[in-house]
Amino acid sequence: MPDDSLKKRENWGSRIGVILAVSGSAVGLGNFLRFPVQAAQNGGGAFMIPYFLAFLLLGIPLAWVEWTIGRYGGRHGHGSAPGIYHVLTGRKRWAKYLGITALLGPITIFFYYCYIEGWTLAYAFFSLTGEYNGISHPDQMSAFLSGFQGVETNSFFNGPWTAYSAFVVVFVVNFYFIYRGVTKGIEQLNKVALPIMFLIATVLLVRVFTLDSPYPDRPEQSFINGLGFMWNPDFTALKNPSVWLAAAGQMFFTLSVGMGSIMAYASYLRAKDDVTLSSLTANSTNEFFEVILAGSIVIPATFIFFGAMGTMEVAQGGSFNLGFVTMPLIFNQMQGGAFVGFLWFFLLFMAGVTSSVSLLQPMITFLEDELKWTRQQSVVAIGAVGFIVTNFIIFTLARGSLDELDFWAGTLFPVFNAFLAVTLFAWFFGVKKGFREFDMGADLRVPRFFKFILLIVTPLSLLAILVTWIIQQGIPVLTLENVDPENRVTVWITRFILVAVALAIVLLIRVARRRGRFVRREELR
Amino acid sequence: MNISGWIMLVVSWTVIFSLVIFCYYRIFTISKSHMQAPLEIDTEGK
Repeated sequence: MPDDSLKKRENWGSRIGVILAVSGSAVGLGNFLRFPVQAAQNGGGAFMIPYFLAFLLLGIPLAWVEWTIGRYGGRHGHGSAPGIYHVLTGRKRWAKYLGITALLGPITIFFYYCYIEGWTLAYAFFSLTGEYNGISHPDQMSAFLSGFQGVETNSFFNGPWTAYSAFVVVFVVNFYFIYRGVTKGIEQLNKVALPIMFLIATVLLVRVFTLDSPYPDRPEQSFINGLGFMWNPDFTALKNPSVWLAAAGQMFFTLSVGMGSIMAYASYLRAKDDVTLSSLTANSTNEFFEVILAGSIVIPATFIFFGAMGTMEVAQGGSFNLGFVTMPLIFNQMQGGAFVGFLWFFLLFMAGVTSSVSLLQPMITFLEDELKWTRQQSVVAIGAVGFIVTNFIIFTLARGSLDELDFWAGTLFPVFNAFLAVTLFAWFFGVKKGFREFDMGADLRVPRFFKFILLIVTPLSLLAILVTWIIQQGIPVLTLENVDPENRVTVWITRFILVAVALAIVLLIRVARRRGRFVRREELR
Repeated sequence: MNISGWIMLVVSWTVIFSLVIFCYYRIFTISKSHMQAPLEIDTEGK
């Protein structure tokens, strides 16, 4: 029986609105900065083989599951993981607590993501004002970034106050859209932002395509050879298990699965709205942005200006180095670079905002659904906690707080959450009943061989990724292996904050339970 | 860019373009009035 509280929940204004909202959630900084680096580092064109396999076996089925259980939960008045898992398992006593990390993960990512989002806004402004003009050496540009972040005081910046101002603007923008609600806020934002992002990315692609080598004696540094740097396959890389793991990881992060956002968004669908075609459309939109647009901008542009060796070094330097050090250096050498730089950073800013609002939504949905808080109360509470935690991150950036949070919330929790979601769906809810849910209002019938994939392949793949990451990264992180002794206190404080937020969520779940929100099956009789 | 690179690029782009066109074509052309959903019988695992 659908829950009465469903009557009070919002619905999306249009089908394309929810598709663009989920696409906007998925298309983020990682599409433009992480994917090209991953592809270039892991076998070039050969990387696309494990990448597409991961799309088929992990990305598509996980997204179908999250859309479907989100809609199912919404039908029973629950739009966040604790409530959704509660009804999905037939109201088991323990199920609601499995949803803790699906609330803790996205809200924690939001705390540091909106700070990074502020960097993109500030750099868009810097591009127009010529703040980093004239810097031609990578070390100087790195110093510019470090000074901006407040990691060091130098001739460019005297403290993190510029970055801080940008963060405050971004923070307010995010909460403004969240406060306006699902239809008037998130849907309207994405309906405007996604087409603008598409236009900007296309303009940038055309600009990179028309670039010539800046060095007449190096005509081989061309756009086509830049594409070759990224796409020429090294099939021997496929023998390396870490390449397969990198492809699975990239697929995982790019589609925003395991974040709780898709479930929260889907909970605002109507009972018989399609989920299968809408989910696939959002996924394909994300892939279009990632592989076709992002894959043709960053690496080819870097290749044209820095050549093969330089691009290899840049790729090894990681995503942030590419986005905030290499790209500004390129804009400085490019005709019309100030405007192109503005477009690039504004594109990253838009991609960031459409993602970060989706990171806030699971917690907002939880407070509204389970505790019956008003939107205003939810926004004020999360805003206050978020402001305090983000301030801690900003002023301890150099001491590793962001890296610590990113490991737990950005790496481990999403895989864990996705494993829980698919396992509960396939093994507790039941794959037969699950397919009936898929088919409800469906515009696309899910092929039946996905039963086997959802029962066996996806959970086992996620378990393998989880175990490998815990061994490879988790143990060194837990034992503070790569942390300077002087930064260990900060890392422990960061962990304490994470545990405190988790305990606060447990407390809120128990309050909701006392208010009759998680009625157990035996109590219904 | 070598021939293998071109093949990987063209195949990848074709897969994604085809998927995007297929999805958006279906989204904008399907009339919901022709869709017939199954009966909603929710037993909540009972």
